[in-house]
Amino acid sequence: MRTRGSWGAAVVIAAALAFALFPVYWIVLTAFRPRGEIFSHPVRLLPSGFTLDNLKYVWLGSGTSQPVLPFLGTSLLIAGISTILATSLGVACAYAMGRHRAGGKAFAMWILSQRFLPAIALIVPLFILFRKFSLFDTYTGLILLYTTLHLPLAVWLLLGFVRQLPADLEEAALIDGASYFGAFFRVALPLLRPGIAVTSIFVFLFSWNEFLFAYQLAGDEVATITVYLPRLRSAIAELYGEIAAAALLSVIPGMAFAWVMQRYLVNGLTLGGGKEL
Amino acid sequence: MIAPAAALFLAVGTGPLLYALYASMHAFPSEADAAPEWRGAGNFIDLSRDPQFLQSMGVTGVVTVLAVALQLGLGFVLALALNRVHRGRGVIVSLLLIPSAIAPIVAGIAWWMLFSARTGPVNALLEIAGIPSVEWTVTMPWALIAIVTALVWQWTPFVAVILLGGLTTIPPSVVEAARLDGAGPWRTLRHITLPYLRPFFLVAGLLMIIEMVRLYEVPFYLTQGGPGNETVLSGIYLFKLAFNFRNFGGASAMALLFVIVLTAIASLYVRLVAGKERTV
Amino acid sequence: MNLTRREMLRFGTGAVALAAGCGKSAEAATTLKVMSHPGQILPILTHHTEYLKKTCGVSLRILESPDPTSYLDAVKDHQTGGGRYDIAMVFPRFNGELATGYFRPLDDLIEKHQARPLFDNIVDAYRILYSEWGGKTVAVPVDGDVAMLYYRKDALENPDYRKKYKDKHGVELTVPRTWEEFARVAEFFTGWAWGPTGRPGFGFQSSTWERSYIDQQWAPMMASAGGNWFTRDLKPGWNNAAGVRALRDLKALLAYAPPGTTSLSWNQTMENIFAEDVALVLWYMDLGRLGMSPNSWFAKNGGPAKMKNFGYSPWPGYEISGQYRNFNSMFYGRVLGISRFSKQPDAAFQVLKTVLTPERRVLALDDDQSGSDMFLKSDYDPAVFKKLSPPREFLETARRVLDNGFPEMQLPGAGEYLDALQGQIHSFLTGNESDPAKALQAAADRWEAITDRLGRERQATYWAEVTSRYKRAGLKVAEL
Repeated sequence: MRTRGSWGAAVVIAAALAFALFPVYWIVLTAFRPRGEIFSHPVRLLPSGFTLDNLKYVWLGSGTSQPVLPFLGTSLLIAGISTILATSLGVACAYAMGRHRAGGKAFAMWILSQRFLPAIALIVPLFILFRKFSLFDTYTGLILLYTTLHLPLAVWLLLGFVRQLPADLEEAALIDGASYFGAFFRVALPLLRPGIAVTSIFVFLFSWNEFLFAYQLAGDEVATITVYLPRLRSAIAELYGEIAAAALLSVIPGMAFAWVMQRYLVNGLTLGGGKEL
Repeated sequence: MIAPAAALFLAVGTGPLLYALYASMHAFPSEADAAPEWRGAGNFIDLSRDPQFLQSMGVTGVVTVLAVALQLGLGFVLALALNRVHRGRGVIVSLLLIPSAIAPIVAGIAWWMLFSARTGPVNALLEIAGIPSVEWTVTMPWALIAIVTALVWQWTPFVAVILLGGLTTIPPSVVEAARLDGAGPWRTLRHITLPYLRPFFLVAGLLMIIEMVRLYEVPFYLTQGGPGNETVLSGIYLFKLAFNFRNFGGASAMALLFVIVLTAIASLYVRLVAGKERTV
Repeated sequence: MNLTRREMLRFGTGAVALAAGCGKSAEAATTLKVMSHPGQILPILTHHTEYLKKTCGVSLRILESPDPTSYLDAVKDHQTGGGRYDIAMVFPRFNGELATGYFRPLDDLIEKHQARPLFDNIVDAYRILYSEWGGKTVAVPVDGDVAMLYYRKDALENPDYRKKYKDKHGVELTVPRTWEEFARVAEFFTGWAWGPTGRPGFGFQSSTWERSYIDQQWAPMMASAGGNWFTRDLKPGWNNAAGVRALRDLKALLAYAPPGTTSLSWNQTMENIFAEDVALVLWYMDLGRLGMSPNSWFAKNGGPAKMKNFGYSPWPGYEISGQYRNFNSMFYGRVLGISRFSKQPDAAFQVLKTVLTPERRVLALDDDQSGSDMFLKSDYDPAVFKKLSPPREFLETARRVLDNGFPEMQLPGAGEYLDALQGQIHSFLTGNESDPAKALQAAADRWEAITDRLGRERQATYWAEVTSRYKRAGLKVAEL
């Protein structure tokens, strides 16, 4: 019975891997396929032809597409800073709430209810708000937005980690004469590393992949990689090779994080998420 | 310590929500500087009479139910399978998580290519298997199924990992005890595994419901809302109302309805899954 | 109809003189933000970036925006107080939307910079229908899209096939003049190998069936059948026998198109028309202009060799109660307008002037990587093309079909109106809705709601002005 179960597991995992990776395979295939082969009929399931042209056009720009690097840079800047801010504010908030019940139940409910707010519901008021405060098409605007959007998630995750942390070590430090902040910085924070790792991965990915707000509330001076992609698909020119090449480049940070993520995610979500709402 | 967070929430979260409430009861004339005009419940009434609005809510509901059910169900099976694997689990999980790490807009465009009727691999593979091919993006119910497939692809591994985390919390002693008592795999599943996993199903399910409701990129780039208006999901319609049709009032009303409906669904779901279980 | 060499030279030198005037009025180096459609449309502007910098001190900063939604970016600019763009590129269907508050009227600049001859050199149809609004000039065409019927001569002029057709139908096989004839010819050439590929051929293909573009195929048919965008009191002018007939006939034609046609994108249908043998193709100007070129986007499926087989003709029409009407789709095209918030209207106008100057214009026309089709009177002279070799016959037909081009719906709210129509048309064509009358009724209900919301009186005034321009352009659209 053991063996049968293990075989069953193997089959399931193989199927899951095939399903998960086939589209990725297709993106990679398209990225390195010559333009003439991309929409061929009959469909060529296996690699046929190979070219670095798509990558070249996307990296260097061409008569019909802009170079992708500035967009990647913008995304990196915005996602990076949002992650740092959201994680820092989140950990401070979660610590205060977890250790000292700061704000009480009301505050907790308020923050966590923000999780149920689909961001798209806010797009109209935010549009008007951004207009009023000249945040339109600025780094500040998007960073503020992303930080706030992901803060509830950050707090929620970190709260779980904080609650798991036995308070003795901090108490010991306080007894030894450390200040409140000292105990926080030097004792609790290092122990919260897994939580911080998990949180920053989530926030970074969600900010990096965000499209709607990046498109509607910015797009010219401040244009992220997600805004770059649809521009390759206009009425005449459907540059799918270029889209695939750009998509590959944009997915690299995500994949890198997924690798790091898996180690922390399983443990992290166990400790953090499971018991809280 | 909590002040900065609170300030941000107020400014960028609750504040705009209150403004949406205000906006939902006004009409915004096309001149940019003109003052909004009071309409009371007018926008809401218009929405209730708008066949496209009703249709988009309906199709969103269908997609959400289907997608979340599949994500939870398949995710659970995958989690069980992963639980049995120890060597190479890290590599496998990180590979499986790639779909979740890909931007939804990339997923939408990629799946459009995959489901392309004449030039896409899905139909090509179907033909190899002897199944007649389908014009995915322009026929119902296939367009819906295509969207659900893309969503299941993107989020099931993520759900599986959450549930896997839950599985690792089950003390092996309990499982061992059940086995010694002669419990078969099905009974173990029902009476031990599932109850332990309840809070995790809760978390995963809620996260997924929220995600499905706000969908935009995947349906937009996969089917453009077609055939006709069949797959204009609520996220797409909200955006259209606000920016294509410049109906800020209507869009705000729709946004509010979103929040209300979502809160209702969330509390229903919580009650369903958490049920009689006391908070762990 | 063709411009003589001398006339062209006259415009040319006149324009050169004007263009030389650029140096005089140039301020110290300025940068303009120009919003443009991406991809193959960029050459319309990029051909002039060096020139503008050298002669006028004007640098262009080009900001891309996808075609179907570029007007939304212009609207967004308007709503956020302006400043994002100096010049914006949109489909002319949104002229009404933007002329009422965003586009700056150009007449004073035209007078100031003596650019009237440049504007007079724009083909009448585009000048009257796509650059004017409310009695003022508001936009400049930079790409003239109009569709024609490309028919396969190796099909329609093959004596064996002609005999077979005559035996079957009792009439001569001619280039179809009515949609009924069109359907018959299309049906005749579907399902057997009549062409060089050796595969069973098809009768018909159109440029695209995508939901966002499907109106371009149906609307001219609707107009030929006696419909119009609106009636005088702003009721939809197509929710009637004309609209239903067009919709039904269009759906019937699908049977003669390659399989999976309704789910194909623009590019993919483009592959079809060369990869397969298609007897009747309804396509825009780029096919004729670029088909012969070995490097264009048509080339990979054997463009130049197969191009020789095409003949050119206007779209068919309908003969109803003795009156024959035919319209060619004059949809898309692109226009440039100056934002009224721009702080450098004169510099921006220099850009527009440059794009209209024949010798500069020709750079984007005679380019196999450029999607800009003819819109100046001087564009239709074969001598103008040095790199491309569009057949003379094509250029003559292209010039002719413009006289019967059915134009876009341009009223404010165009985006919303058309979205309603597109959804229903697409629904019917994909088989989701089986009753054409019901589909059109649903769209009509929505049109009424939109008109009410935008203000019926105001829209009616705009529509009256639009129809007056239809008359000036000589269009025989039914007056409802």
